[in-house]
Amino acid sequence: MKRIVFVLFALLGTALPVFAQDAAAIVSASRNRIKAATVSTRTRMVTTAKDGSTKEQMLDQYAKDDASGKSRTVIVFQRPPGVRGTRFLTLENRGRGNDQWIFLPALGKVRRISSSEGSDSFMGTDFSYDDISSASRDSDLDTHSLVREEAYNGRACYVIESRPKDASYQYSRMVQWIDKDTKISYKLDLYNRRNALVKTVEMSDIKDVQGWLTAHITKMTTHADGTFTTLFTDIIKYDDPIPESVFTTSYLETGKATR
Amino acid sequence: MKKRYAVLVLALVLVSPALLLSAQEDDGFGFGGGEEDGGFGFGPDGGGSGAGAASPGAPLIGAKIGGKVSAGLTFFPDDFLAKGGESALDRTKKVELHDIFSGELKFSAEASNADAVINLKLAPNFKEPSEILLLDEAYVRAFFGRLIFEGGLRKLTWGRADSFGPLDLTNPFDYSDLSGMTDFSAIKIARPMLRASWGIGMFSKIEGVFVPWFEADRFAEQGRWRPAQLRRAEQIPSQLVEKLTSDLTPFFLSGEADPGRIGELMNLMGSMSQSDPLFSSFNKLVPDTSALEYFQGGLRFTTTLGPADFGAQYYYGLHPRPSYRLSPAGYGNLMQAIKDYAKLSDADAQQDGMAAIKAAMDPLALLDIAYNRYHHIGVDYAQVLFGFNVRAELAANITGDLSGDDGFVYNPALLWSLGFDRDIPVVRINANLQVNEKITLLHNRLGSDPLLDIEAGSKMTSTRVTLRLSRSFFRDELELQATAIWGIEDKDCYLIPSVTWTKGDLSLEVSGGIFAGDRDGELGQYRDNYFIKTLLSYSF
Repeated sequence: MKRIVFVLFALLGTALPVFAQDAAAIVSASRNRIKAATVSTRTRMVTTAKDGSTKEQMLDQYAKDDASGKSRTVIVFQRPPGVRGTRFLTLENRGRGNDQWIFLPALGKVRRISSSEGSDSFMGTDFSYDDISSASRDSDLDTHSLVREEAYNGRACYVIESRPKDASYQYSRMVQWIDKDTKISYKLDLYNRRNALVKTVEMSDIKDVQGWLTAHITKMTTHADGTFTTLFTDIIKYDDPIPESVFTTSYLETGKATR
Repeated sequence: MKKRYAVLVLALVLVSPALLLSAQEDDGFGFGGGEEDGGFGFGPDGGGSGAGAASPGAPLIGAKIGGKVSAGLTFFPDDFLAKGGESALDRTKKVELHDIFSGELKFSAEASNADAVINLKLAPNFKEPSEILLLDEAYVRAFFGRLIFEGGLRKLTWGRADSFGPLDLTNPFDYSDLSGMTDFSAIKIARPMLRASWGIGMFSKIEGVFVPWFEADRFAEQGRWRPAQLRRAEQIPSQLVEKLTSDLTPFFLSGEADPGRIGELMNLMGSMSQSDPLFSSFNKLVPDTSALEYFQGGLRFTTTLGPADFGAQYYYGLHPRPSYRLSPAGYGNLMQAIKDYAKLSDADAQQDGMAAIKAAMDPLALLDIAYNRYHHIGVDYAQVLFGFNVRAELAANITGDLSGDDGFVYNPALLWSLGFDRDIPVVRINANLQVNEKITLLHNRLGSDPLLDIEAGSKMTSTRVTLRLSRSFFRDELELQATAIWGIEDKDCYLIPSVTWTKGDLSLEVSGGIFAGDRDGELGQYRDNYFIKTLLSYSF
């Protein structure tokens, strides 16, 4: 009996790390699912207030890693008129904070900016700056565990809980539903440090884009406020050529990419 | 000029929709790419656009109209108070309401290797209808790979400081209404200029600018915003009389002068000591600077090294404020004309003698007025340090007065600016602090006579501290902001609180302005000009 119990515990002991390893692998596979050299998108952000009134913003985003694999992103705001022509450049750095610059048409020059508090609202939407970058969040930053398997919208999914290793991160845990077959993430529940559910992200309108299944609608709901922001990806292109000069302060200033 | 602008606006309004229809539906996403997605992306045929793209072979033109229309009121509570023997009611009846309507119209057209911009300001002046439409900026840019040429009426910003940095000197400023001072770009005056820039590597650039003629900073010549610096010019007659009296006394006592003439001359100088309208309209005395003689130009190099941005520049320019002095020749002529008149006994000759004195009293003959040339060298720096977004500038303005004792030329000066901004955690307030200082070199060599030294009586340093605090609520729909500008040496300040509510393309702003401190200071002199402004704006 003791031997059986010992074997069971041994099996269990070896099984737990396997689950964690599998969970991490699943999350990593989900986040690195699309292997594209560049991503170009046009997105409408529609923020709906509790009273039903809406606010719409439109932005273009161009992303391309540099030769060493560090990410580079340019965002160009198209609407509303008050921010039209504003351009924003982020260059990832390793070992220090990212470099960020902004061009404000009213100011007429490029200005370096500091990284905002990750929990701050991005452009007045329900997405925080951390939320915006969560899709590319390194899976090594969290500890993952497979909670269960269940169906979501008729699709068999892994339900994985991720806990940030950094205690100062705005969320204490994140629970996501990942399609077992396609590795698409359909839903993400975000919990604050008091373990209360604060936000939910839902991805839908999945379409094949250049061979990659891509969500065209992403909805972030802030439960306490009763507000939600919906991202409509009107245009998305993978591996579209983006000149290197786009990721420069000169592009921010002129809006023109030189050869 | 008004008619030309009206025709231009009408043409643009009629033509632009046609251009918009012919432009791709993607409205400038990426560049190049296929027709099916409206030219999205940077595509294989990308010509460096990033906007207004189309498939290969199609015209690469996009045109946009945008702008803002505002309605509001600015009123000054002091205008409604009893003052100077007038009742509050009587003063209220005289109140003029300004800035009821204003607006901006922005036209832009883009091709793959060029773009053009025309920005108009709508500023109805119901007393001067010809000034309803003002050209704010109008320029063309041509892109040839890393080389960019630009020409037209342009506002340029050099340096890293958020406002009024010592390196930002290609354009003058309009200080004729300080209620709009926080909108830094709006008070900058566009100038005709040619500019070329060359991109070096990924983050370096060298640019050159040529400004063919010069315009100084603008100030209100009359009204509530008329600065003390202009009122200083009104003191010239009384200062002149004081000097003449002192210099002529030995002559009057020498016995050479006719006693009858001395009395007349004393009466004449008494009338001179009152404000001469020509002196009070100082701008009419300054030289016409719309010639190539008053060109300016400079070179600027910028780069990014690791986490920091750097810049260095040279500029050959003109001091934005005129210098004046009592002309030695003009004063000598006046002295001689007075002495000659004082010796006259012949009644017939007295008429000619008096005419000679009045001719010598002409301000244009008595004053030397000029804009001083200077060589400017400046460096700047920006970096995020421990969460603080730090910006710094350092400059030297080297005039021709290297000994410091030429009263007709401003002394050389050192200027610096240091600032940062940071989001304060927990309270989520953005704090933006900037300190600017000008240090007049060789200050101990300045003269004390204001008629002979433009900087007589000025302080060695002039320091301004600007602090702006802002906080947004309700998903950026409501913004509270408070700006404070302190003049350290002048012991004065300017406080500007504001609340802005934004709903979609509509915004409502309520702001105020309070001046405080020493009434002799550049800010404190406007202590009676505290105001409340409301503005309803629609952006499109």
